Amino acid sequence: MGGFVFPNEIHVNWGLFIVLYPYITGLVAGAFIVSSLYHVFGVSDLKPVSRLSLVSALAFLFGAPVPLLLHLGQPLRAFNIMFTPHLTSAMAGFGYIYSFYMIICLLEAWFMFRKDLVIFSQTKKGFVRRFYSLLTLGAKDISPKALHTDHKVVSVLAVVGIPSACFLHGYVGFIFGSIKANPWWSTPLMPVIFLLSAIVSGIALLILVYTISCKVRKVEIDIPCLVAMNKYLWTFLIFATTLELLEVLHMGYEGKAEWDMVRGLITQGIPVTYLGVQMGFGVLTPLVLLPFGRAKSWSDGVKKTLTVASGVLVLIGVLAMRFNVVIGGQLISKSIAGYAQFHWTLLSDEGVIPALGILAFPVVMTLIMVRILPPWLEERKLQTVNSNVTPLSTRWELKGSGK
Amino acid sequence: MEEEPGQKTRWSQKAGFRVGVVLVCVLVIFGIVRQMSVPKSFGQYGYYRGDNVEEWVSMDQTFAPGNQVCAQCHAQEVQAAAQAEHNQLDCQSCHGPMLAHVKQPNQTHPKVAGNVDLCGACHREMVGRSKDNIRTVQVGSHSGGLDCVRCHDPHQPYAKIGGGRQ
Repeated sequence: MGGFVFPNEIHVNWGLFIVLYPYITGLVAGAFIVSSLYHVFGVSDLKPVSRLSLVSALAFLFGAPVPLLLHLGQPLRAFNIMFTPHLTSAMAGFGYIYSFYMIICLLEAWFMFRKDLVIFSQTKKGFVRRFYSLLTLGAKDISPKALHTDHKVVSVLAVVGIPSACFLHGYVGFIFGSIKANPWWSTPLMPVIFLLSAIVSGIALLILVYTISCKVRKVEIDIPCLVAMNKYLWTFLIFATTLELLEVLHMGYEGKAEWDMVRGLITQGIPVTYLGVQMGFGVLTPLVLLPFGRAKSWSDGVKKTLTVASGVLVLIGVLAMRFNVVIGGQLISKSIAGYAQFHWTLLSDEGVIPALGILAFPVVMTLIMVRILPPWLEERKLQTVNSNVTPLSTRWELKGSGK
Repeated sequence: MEEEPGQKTRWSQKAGFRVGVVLVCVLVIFGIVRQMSVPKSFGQYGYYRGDNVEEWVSMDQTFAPGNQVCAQCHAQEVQAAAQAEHNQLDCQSCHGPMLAHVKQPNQTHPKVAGNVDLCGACHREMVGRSKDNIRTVQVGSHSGGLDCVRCHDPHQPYAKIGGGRQ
């Protein structure tokens, strides 16, 4: 380490907050893709988490711009990128990309939960009743025909949502990937790597949210659902890791001029977070554990433990990956002849404690959101409340019952 | 609000219409706020507020034109500095903006802080600062908390301490 560093590279300007931004955005995109696996691709095993995943995606979406706004220092300036849009700047596109995705997510959630909202607005009392009444926007028709229309709208929005989610997160990778002066960032693979690791982290998040919610509600965990998530997590983890390694191996095998710098970064700059946390804990361990977590001969308890443990490891691993990309890239001097140093701080200057606070925000949002839009409300319970409601028999459920 | 069977929902109560109205409202509010927030002169010359140029032009000048103005009264100091390490610096780099002092020399007497904060701006040891080009020190251990000017004359940094590099 050491070498020649330009004066303006001494301070690592993108700190932990900027590490959290792609992390939280990735969780959003990943959770949304899980909800789409059920709503668009008809993976019926994922039904127990189909609504939970959308609510989590929405809650984390609220948390996605928080680290950016706090990093700005002057949060209101964020609106300038929307008021005076700049078409040649990828970074300036965030406002519109984020808002478009937020609208898609809100619309999908609204149409998905409209029936629940209407029922709550009729059964709850006082302020809560008025609150739900407001949320229904006065559209209180929950006849089978109207609900059927809702489902059609939801499925269209889910279809539109997939490219939007890919765009929202692929775009984050694009920003890093298109910085050609930085050998650790500059690769057209970056958007794809970001997207796949986002899906990985999103599934891991849902495994955790789903298991914890079942524990809190004292409900049996749906093992086929957990096994399905286990399978998808494993598959996407393989894809994501393949691309991540491919990028580094390719650079090394080609022996590009910058390879010595990148090798130095990996072996001396960020060996603990890259080789240890990201690759060791976040990839290798779950890759081994996950297949055992769905082995038929093993008991449900072992399956749960292994899958949840893998989920936690993957979540930590992806956070480390974001750290290694964002911070690691800034450690390589533009001189390609020296390394800057990253200093951990606790409180000041995007320290660990404020970063943990930012990370806690979407978690708290999820807790609030599942109170407002309970994603586990079963159809039967609803029918006892309102006998006019006919069971939802849509093509999604028919597909599910066929399996 | 619950419907009787067979009765049609009025189009104004349909979900799509309601949510559409909300969306249009959001867009209209965005448009209005944008109209109010973007300065009138934005884009006049380029991707920035045109008035900003006028504002800079009309700002009060605070710096005096250059060392030759200082030399009219402080010839000895300017002469001394011109022969030593700091000869590339403008007087006002350390002394601060001096136009007011030049206009009314007896009424304004600016002070220069000869402490480690001022000198350290250039002489503090840093990763990106090559010792080949500038003499850098670890200010804490080098001066032990004393002001730099106790040992160094800023106009001739080594004069007080024996004349040559230590």
